[in-house]
Amino acid sequence: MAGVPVPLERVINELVKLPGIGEKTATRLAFHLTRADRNDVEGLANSLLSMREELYTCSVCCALAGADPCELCCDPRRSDEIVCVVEEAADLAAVERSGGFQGRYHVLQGTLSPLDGIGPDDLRITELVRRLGSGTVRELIIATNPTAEGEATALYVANLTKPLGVTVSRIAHGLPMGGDVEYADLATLGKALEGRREM
Amino acid sequence: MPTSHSSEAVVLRWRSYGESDKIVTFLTRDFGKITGIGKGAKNSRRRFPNSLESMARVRVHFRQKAEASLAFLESCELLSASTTPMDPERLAYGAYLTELAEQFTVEWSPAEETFSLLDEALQVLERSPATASFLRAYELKLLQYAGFGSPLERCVQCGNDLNENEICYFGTMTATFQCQQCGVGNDTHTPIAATLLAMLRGLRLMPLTQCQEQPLTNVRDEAARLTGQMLSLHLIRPLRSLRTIDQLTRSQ
Ligand SMILES: [Zn+2]
Ligand SMILES: [Zn+2]
Repeated sequence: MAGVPVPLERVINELVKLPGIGEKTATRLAFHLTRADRNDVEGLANSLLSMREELYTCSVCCALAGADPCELCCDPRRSDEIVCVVEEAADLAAVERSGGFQGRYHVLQGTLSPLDGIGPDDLRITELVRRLGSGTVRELIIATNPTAEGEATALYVANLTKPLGVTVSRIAHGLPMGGDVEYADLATLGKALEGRREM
Repeated sequence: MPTSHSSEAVVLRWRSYGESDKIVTFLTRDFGKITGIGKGAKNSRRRFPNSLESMARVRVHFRQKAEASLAFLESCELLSASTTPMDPERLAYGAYLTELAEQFTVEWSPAEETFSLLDEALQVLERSPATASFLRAYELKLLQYAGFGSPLERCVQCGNDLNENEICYFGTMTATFQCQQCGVGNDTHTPIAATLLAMLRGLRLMPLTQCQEQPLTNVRDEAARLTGQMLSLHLIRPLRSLRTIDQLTRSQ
């Protein structure tokens, strides 16, 4: 890159790999870091490295967590009988913020997405079925997004798990079609959970 | 001065751009394929009410500056919303039809027949499952509209009619059919039952809505292999949806 010293260019090249960051933004961020306090830069670099080292996929719910099993899976106050199935960890956080849910979670880590070639084998569905094998779980609430992909995934999971003797319900359509659980406001999400319907 | 346009369209695919924008590729009825940026599309329910999802049937309003590679999407309305949630297989086959239409069309090159074909096929899929005959008919029609239709009536070598009572030959390198005299003894040509060829001819001519129920019974796999070879000669990249379809059908 003309006029940009190599050490700076290295940072820019790393930043443009991030989603939503173009070369302009990457250059601005990199220049910002050249002026930032040394401690702040070290803090950023170290937190990135430790994130990779200290982050686990919880072997129970498949959420990203700081420990395995994660805090939510270990919390004795939560009910083991009801599991809320979400697409991503961000959706789990949204349901948790709504405050109305006291069961456990399962994170699929995506949806069926045929245009990207994503099928059931790419999701954490086997882990969910294995979890149901113990017989403790009595209800699954499927809280995938109200998009075509989210609906198809909900149906796939329901068809697979209903024969195992659990009640499967879908969060109510208070969420607009095409919407996103992650960005739903708390009241709407709370109502959607409360008004869930058996599939 | 950018020109404003409006057209019926099917959303072929989209991706996030930054915090709130979407970059969306449409197959339009009037302009062929176009790609545009929907500023604030992730949040604006007024301008883009749930209308930028893949496979959505929409009316899109956009502006195009002569020098810009991306159109500017002004708004987009949903023309029909699927009432029943799509089951996984229909979603996957819908993606397959959509991916094929994308690969067989060009930006800013009108392809009204291909648009109508995809539009109609997605509507059929909302009502009924994707049968083998429906898929083969779609593939044959798509190839024809894109200008790659292999002649199914006459031998490409000698021009004689392909006789329905004789065996004919399929050239795997060229995806064309030859009569018995021309094709026999050629090791890049495989023999094809005349009934299969007649079946393909029928499907290519038949309205898509009627193709759903056509039995392919004993030639089902062979028909899929033939159209697969015809398509593969023109594909720019592998079809991703096939991976999903494979996983879904294997797990049954
Ligand atoms: Zn966990
Ligand atoms: Zn001939």
